Amino acid sequence: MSMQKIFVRLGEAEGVAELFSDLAPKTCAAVLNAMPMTGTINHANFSGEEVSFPTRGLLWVRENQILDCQPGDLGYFVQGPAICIYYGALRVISPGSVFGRITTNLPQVQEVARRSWKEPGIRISLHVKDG
Amino acid sequence: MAGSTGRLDDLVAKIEAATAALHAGEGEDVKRVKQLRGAMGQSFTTTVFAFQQASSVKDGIAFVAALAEKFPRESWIATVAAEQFRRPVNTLRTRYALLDTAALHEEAAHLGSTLDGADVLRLARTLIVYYAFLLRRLRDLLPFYELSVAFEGHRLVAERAAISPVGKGVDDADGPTALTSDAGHSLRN
Repeated sequence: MSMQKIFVRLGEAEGVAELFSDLAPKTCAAVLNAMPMTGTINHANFSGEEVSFPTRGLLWVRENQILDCQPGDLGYFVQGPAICIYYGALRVISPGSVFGRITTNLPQVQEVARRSWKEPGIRISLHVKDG
Repeated sequence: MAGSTGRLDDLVAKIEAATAALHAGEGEDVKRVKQLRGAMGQSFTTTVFAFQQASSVKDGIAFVAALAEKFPRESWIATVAAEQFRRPVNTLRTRYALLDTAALHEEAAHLGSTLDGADVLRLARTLIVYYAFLLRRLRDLLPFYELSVAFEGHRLVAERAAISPVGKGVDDADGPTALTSDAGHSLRN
């Protein structure tokens, strides 16, 4: 079975993320159900190289909560609620439900995410990959 | 409870409409916060305290949601919820000009005492989402990058960024010293 993929457009960069439907099935289903999602990102102030944007309450259960995130991991932060992109080095304080990972064009996404520390308000959209 | 269910539906719809407005734009409350002036005519303290106050209120609502989730059949949950919703009304209104938010709290407080655990949870979660968007808008007013630079200085911020795995590593040929050569603006991004 092929992995479900979504587009993550951050400013001028567009990455493709693979969803962890096996590890976080409820979160993946809720995220897919909410597509497309749009917003503006803010850079994390505390944890490190992470950006996020607020969302509606997509679901209220936690799953696949891990502290040792990899660059490109996507998390749903129930307490926000918010979608997070863990794009680099960080010390996760309060884990989100990690539901996918950007596997294509991550360096471009990282460039934009890093820039958002100085330049807030960069737009983000998540949508289902065509085809 | 039948009557309160209809009123809850109405209030949830109102809060969700306010949330959607905050998603689409700044909203009247945030515009009013921007107009506040604190000591010496500046607006930094009023803005940062408004952000902190809203954050504290959200924590209180999250506490109510957690109680309602864990003790859905306890009758006292309605009393606790109503009190928690009521407490910040005056502060939000008089100190931070968050008039629309205060009005939502007032309605939630009036209704809260009539709700069962499941309805308290629904109302609290709706407010939590509202606060996620309100806090984002208030946070957008605060220049954290500039503040961090002013607090620590350009050089320290640049050196810390330089050791990031996605930044230029400290063992790069042009290294962190080069990164700081333009008053912090040459940070790789």
